[in-house]
Amino acid sequence: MFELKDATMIYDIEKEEMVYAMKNINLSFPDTGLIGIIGPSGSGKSTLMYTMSTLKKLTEGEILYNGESVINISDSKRQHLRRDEFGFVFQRHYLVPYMTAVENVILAANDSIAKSKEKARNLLLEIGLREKELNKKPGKLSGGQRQRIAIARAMMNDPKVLFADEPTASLDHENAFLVMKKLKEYSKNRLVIVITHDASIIKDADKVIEIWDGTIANIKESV
Amino acid sequence: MKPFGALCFIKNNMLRCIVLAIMMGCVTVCYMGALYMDNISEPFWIRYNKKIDNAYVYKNTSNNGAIEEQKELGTHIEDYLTEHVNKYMYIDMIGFDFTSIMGFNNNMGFPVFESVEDYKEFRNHTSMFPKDLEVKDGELVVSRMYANNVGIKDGDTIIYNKNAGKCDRVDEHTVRTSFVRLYKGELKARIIDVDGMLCTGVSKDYDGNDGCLFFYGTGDDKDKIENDIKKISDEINGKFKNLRAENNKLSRDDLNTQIGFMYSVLGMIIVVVGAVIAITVNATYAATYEKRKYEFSIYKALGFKRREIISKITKETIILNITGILFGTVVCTISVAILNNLLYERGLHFYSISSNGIIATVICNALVVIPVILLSFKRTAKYDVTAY
Repeated sequence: MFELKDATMIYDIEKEEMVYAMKNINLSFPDTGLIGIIGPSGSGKSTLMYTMSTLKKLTEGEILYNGESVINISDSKRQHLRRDEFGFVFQRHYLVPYMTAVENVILAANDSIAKSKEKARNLLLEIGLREKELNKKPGKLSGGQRQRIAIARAMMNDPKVLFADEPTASLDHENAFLVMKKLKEYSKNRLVIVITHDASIIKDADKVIEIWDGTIANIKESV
Repeated sequence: MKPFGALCFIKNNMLRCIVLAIMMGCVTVCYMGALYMDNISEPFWIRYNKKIDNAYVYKNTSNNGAIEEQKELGTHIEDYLTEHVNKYMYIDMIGFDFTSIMGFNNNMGFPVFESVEDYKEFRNHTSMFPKDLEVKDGELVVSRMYANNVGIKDGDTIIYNKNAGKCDRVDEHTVRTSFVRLYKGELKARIIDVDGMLCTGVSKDYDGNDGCLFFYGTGDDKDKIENDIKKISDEINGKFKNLRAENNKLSRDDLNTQIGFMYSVLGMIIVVVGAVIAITVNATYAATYEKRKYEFSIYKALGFKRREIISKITKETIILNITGILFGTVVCTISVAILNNLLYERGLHFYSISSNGIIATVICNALVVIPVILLSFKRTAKYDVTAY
C-alpha cells in the first residue's frame, strides 16, 4: 500500500547545521495489518507518520500510496486522502472543546447527521465509553476517555489507513491493551500504523519498525 | 445541527458570541451620530425640499443703501416679472429664535400677511403652507414643534416690543425674535399639528411696503415657474448688493454649505469610531482564534478544505454581525423613542429614519467586518496540527 523510497526529511534546511528527522528511509507497508513504529523521543517516528499522511512534505525522496506519489499532489487530492482514506489519532487528541463526544466523532463524517450519530455512538460504546458520557464535552472527561473519542473519530469514515501517534499515551495499562485490541481487530482489513515508544503495547503487531535518529534500525515481522 | 456548522460554535459559546455581537453592534452608534446631524437641518428641509414656486426679497444690511435699493426694486418690480411669475406682494416677516437638536440657536423667517385675502392668494399659488390651513385676521398660526421650542402657548397674545428683536407674550414672558419687520399691533397664537417649523399670520395693522417682497407664479407649468423664479432671484441678487432674493434652492445651497463641514466632521468620526471598533473586534477575534487554533488545525488534518474553514469563520462572523446590528438597531430605536419622548415637550425631536445614518453604519460596519474576514484568510493558512 505504502512505499517509501529514500524518504528524507530535514528540519532547518536553511541553517548550517541541518537536522535530519528522516534519512534515506526505504520501506514498504502491506494493505492490511497492524504495523508498530517504535523508537525513542526525537527519533523521527511522528515525522514518518506526518509525511506518509500528507501532513508534511518530504525534503527528498518519494512516498507512494497505492502506486501514486503523495508528495506533489493537488490540494483537493490531499484533502480527499485525509478525509476518506486516512484516519488520524494524534498524541494530543485535538478534540474540539465545545463539542460533545458524539459531535467530535461525527465532525468530518461523510454520511448524514442521523446515520453518523448512530455510528458514532456505537463506535464510542464499543471502545469503552459509557452511554452517559456520549453527550459530555471533552473538558468533563478524563484523558483516557478523550483519547478514545479521538480513536472513534479516526475510525468514523472507515479509513483504509489509520495513523495512530501514541494512541495509548494517556491510558492506563488495562485500557491501553483494550484500545490496542480494538486496533488489532480493526487492522484485519485495513492498515493500522501505531507509533509508540512502549514496546509492550505493540507485541501483537504484524510488523515492528524500529527507528533511531531518523533511520531504520530494525524491522521485525511476526511469524 | 452539523458540528462543523457556524451555528454549533455560536450555540456552544453563547456568552463569548454575545459579547462579540454587542461589540459589532456598537457600529450603530454611527447611526445615532448621523441621525443627530440630519436633524440639525431637518426642520429646514421640510420647508425647502419643495418645488421653487416663490421667492422673497429682504434687506441684507441695515444701511441706507438697502432702503434705496428696496425703493428702486419696488419702482421697477414689473420689469422683473415674467409670463409665469407675474404676482408679487409686500409682507411682514416674523421669526422666533429656536434651538436646534444640537443645541444651537437658529432662526427662520415666516410671512405675516396684510389681509386674509393676501394669505389665501399666496397659499393657493405656493407650496409653503398646507392647502387647508386657514388663518384669520389677527391670528398667528404656529406649528406645535416651533411653538414648544420657542415657548409660545396656544392662545398667547404676541405683542411687538419696542426693544428691537423682542416679542412679548401677555403673561409677560418674553420670546426672542430674529425677524420682526415693521410689525405692529398684536397677534393671537394658535398652535397646529404639522411637521417641522411653520408659522404665519395675518394682521391688518401691517402698514407699509417696506417689508419683504414676495413674488410667485400662478400658472400650472411648475417647471417654468421654477426656472423663472431662479432667473429673477439671480438677477436681483446680481444687481442689488444690499438685497437678498431667497428661494428654496438658494436656501438649500446655503444650508448645504453650512452643513457640509459638519458632515465632513461626521465622516471623520465614523472613520475613527469604525477604526476603534475594528481594532477592538479584531483583537478580540485574534484572541478567540488563538484559543481555537487546535480546532482549526484538526479541521485541516481531517481533510476540510481551507475554503470550508474560511466559509465557516465568515458565516460565524456574519451571523454575529447581523445579530449585533439588529441588537444595535433595537437599542437605537428605543433610544430615539425615549429621547423623542423627553425632547418633544421642548419642541425638539428626531424626525425620521436617517439615510445618512444607515450609510454611516454600513461603512463603519464594513470597516469592522471586512478585516475580520480577510484576516481569517491569513490565519487559516498557518494552522498546522504538526506544529504544536
